[in-house]
Amino acid sequence: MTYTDITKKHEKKKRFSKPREKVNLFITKIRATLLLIFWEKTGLKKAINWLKIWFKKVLDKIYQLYLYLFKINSFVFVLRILTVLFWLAAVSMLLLDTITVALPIYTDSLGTDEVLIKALLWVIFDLLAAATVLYVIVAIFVEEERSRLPTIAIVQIFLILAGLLLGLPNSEDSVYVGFALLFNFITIVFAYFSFVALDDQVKSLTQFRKSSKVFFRNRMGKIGLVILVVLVTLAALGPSITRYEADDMDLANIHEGPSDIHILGTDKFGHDTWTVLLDSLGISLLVGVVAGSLCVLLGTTIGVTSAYIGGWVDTILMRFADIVLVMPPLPLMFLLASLPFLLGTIHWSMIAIIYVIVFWPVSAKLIRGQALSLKQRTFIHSAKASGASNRYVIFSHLLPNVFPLMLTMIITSMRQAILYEAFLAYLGLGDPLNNSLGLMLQAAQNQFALASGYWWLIFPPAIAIALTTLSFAFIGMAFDEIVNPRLRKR
Amino acid sequence: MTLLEIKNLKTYYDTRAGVVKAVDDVSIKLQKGEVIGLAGESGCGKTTTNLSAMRMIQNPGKIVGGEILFDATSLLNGQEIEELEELQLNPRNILNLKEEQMRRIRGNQISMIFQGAMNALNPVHRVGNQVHEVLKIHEPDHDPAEGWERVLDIFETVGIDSSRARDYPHQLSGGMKQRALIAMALISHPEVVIADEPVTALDVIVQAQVLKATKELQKTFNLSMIMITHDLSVISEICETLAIMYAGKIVEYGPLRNVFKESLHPYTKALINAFPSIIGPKKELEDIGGAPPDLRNPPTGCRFHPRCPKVMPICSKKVPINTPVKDGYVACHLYQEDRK
Ligand SMILES: Nc1ncnc2c1ncn2[C@@H]1O[C@H](COP(=O)(O)OP(=O)(O)OP(=O)(O)O)[C@@H](O)[C@H]1O
Ligand code: SF4
Ligand SMILES: [Mg+2]
Repeated sequence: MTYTDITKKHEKKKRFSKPREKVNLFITKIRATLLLIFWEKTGLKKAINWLKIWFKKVLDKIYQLYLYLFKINSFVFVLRILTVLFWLAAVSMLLLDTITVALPIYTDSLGTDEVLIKALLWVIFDLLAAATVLYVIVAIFVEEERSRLPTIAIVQIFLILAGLLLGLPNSEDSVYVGFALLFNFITIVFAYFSFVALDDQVKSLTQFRKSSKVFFRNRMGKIGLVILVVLVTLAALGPSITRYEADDMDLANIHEGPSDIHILGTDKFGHDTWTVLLDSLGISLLVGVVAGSLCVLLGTTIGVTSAYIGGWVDTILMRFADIVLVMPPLPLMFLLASLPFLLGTIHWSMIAIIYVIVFWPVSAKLIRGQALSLKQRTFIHSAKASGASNRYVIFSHLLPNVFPLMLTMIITSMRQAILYEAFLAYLGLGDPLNNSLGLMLQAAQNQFALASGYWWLIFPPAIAIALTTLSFAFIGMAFDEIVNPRLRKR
Repeated sequence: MTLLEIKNLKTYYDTRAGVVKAVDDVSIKLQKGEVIGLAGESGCGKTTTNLSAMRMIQNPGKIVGGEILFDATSLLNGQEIEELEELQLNPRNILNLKEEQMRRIRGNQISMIFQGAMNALNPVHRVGNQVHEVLKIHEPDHDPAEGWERVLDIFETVGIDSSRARDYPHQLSGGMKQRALIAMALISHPEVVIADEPVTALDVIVQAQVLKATKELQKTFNLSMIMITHDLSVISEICETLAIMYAGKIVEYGPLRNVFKESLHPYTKALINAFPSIIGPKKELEDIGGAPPDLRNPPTGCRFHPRCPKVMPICSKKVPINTPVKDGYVACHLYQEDRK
């Protein structure tokens, strides 16, 4: 294609209004030139197209191979044996973790408050891991449960993610549980492939393909996902990819700007900003994900219950929500956050709980409104008239219709939780034992960074906050399209 | 053979402003293979009557009297029947059943077709799956692949191309959605189908198609149906028996021809006159005049008396009883022997 061709093509696409015609034409020309130089002339377009085709071919080959392999009985049999072996490995790792790590931490920390919280968190985490590990064996033996394997796999991925953000790679005491989670994930995958019928596998595969197609057709979704993956990877790897530890003090270089020793400069104590940033990212993301999703889950449960049961249950729950709603959120959060301080210190999980306490009524009210209107729709009556039970109506008709709203709200809520955590930390009500983006900003404020021009102390955490919230927003938009068929462009 | 009998049914809504007597002493007998049309002004209690028959009245409504006789004992096990008999309750009266037992009947032996152009299908599930759902509820251990075949079959039967079964509701036209709803009501081969204004929101041509399909299905499956509508042309198309309802009571009941051609009750006459007839001679349309009564506080005696052109002194004093006429009855003092 030549330069004129491209210009013509773009001219044809747009009909300009007269006064802006020239400007638009100019922009089009520049765009065309840029496209020509960077996209076509460099061969980038060809290369990417070629890559796409090649990628598809490889996928196709893999699919063929997969269909071929899973028809062979002995292959499936070997896979089954591997499944069991991996499961045993996961169980032994969990046992090892409980005996050598979790119990000692627990007994050692019985006296001290703050470590107790950490130990409790580990215990909860371990129990969750154990639950999924045990469930896999149920799923293998009970045929109806097998269809839930993909769901467990997703839960497992979340657990691994939570573990990573909690700092699994950086602490030696958690190696076993990390391996347990990993082995269990492999078990789930193997169990799925070796125990579920090939037909069902193919069915869910095509379903997955369709959903991911819808997701990836959305440019926002792609961008958001990329940002989030980068952020999570950085947070998971944490200080292990930098030259320093988060609490290292380079006293020779205090308040240094970015240089090749300290990529993003240092603060008053010579902490390396880049390292601290990576360390903070994990806690901020974790608070966001945990607080945001718990808040909406609680809100949805209360909202749907309230709408569906109605009567005095509805009245009581909604009055209660109103009481929380009329209180201004910030002072309420201060009040709640200062309670743990009286006892000693505050842990990030408490910030998450405070967020849930203050913000559940928002989602409960919204979901209740939606559920109330849904309850009157004819399809709900129609389902009841075909003999559906209340449970069935709620799970199969009400919740799927509330789901899009819930999802957008979870993502908004995660965004908000990250911001509020930062805000509270900025005001000094943060978890002092763990770095967070808000704490970084607070530290910057304490060192008069703005007045002294230490921009490298302000911009990195601020940009990180902006990027996380942005990625959540983008992903939210793309997800909306998957769960809401009516939004799809066709 | 009488399949479903509604006997002296009373359903009231206990609202803050007073008790709405939406259905007051209504009796309907539905024979095997019969189609009964239930017509009347908006708000006279047609939907309430039929929701009562399904026991789907929502708060603040309540069935306060009467019986609904339907033989669903095949769905109950021996122990459940014994329990009912021990309590001296008639197991054939479905008002005596527990909610869980009632669920086995709904959609299985008695099913309901709702008005389907707008909201009667769940937008997030494929239509085929929504039809399949009924099978999954009532035959929990059927083979899914076989069930899906049945879904495709019933789609063809009601006149939708079976390839549309994988579509979402918003991809179907209003007529197709209505047909999908009919498929949903028919898939588990019910004995009684209640249709609540099944074609009201469709345009005339589609209305005719859906009605024709309904009629054919009714014939092939020998279904017993109750058809609610306020469109008399729909009724004349499909029903054999006609019940005219006014303010919570049935005022005239009988074979379609009799009620239409030789209507007795002043309200029936007024209702028919208020409808244009396309084929017959051009006639003056007359509106009934006055407004439907407030059911919280209905007029004494005959509830139609404030609007009746033939009102007599006794009408406001005494409630007219059902007077038998040719194969039916009418509730009006004009036809009662003891009138003064
Ligand atoms: N949930 C409710 N609460 C209070 N009153 C109700 C309720 N549902 C119905 N009613 C009242 O019961 C009466 C009968 O209503 P119903 O819906 O049975 O009428 P209908 O004959 O089906 O009317 P339409 O032709 O408009 O559908 C009406 O007066 C209505 O106001
Ligand atoms: S009973 Fe009297 S008021 Fe009622 S319809 Fe007959 S004539 Fe009219
Ligand atoms: Mg109605």
